[in-house]
Amino acid sequence: MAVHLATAMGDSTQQGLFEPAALGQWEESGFAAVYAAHARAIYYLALRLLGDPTQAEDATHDVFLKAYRKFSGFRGDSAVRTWLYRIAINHCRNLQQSWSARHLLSNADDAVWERAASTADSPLRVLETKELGQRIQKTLDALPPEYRELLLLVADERLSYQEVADLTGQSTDAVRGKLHRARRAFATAFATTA
Amino acid sequence: MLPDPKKSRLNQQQQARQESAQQSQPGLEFAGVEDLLRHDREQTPPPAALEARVKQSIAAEAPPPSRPWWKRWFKR
Repeated sequence: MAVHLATAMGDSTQQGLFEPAALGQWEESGFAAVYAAHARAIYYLALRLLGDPTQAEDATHDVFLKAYRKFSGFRGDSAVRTWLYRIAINHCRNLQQSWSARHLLSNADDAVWERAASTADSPLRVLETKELGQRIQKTLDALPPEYRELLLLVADERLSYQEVADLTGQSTDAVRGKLHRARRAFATAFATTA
Repeated sequence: MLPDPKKSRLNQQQQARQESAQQSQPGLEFAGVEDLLRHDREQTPPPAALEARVKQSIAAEAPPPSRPWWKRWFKR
């Protein structure tokens, strides 16, 4: 049974064959395999959405715990990674909403990014890699949340445009259109952080 | 005392080579935003202690029932 669970947790398989209720243990349940396969992606998404390593660690912990609790409810309609992303996005959105309600955070007007002049298709050159993570975080923080989520999801090569569209609640055409603007906005903001 | 011309030239050559090596370091170039983010993700592993923390929390969880108690009751 552990083998079934570990197989189901892989990205290629979309069937939900696991029955964790009967298992419960980390290795026996196969949840170790789930963690190993997806922890980096979930932590990275949480880190770049929340912008704080401690908050991201807490969020990743909570996401995997929620996933464990919802095992029996997972129907296997989507890949496990997509399912985990959905839990992570909702979790991070809830955290951000409670923060913004407290701190009245606001991003720049979307119209500013619509007018961004940078060419999104030109390569991004980075001379100093030492603080690249901080530059990326600063750039993402400057973008509208919708663009931030979109870029982070599309950057995961395992997700199709259709899956990104499902996760963000829009059509694939809308994803493509917004993605172009998001890339341009990122390139513009990134250039200012150099 | 004058420095040995051979040694001095050698030092100059070494210094020039080091400087040119530093100058010619191209940094990194990414085809697009997604490539940059992928690189960043690869450089950003989750904290090592996180796995143990998740493991501990899951171990403390009671295994959830596969069906609600009342469904099991009526199935009898």
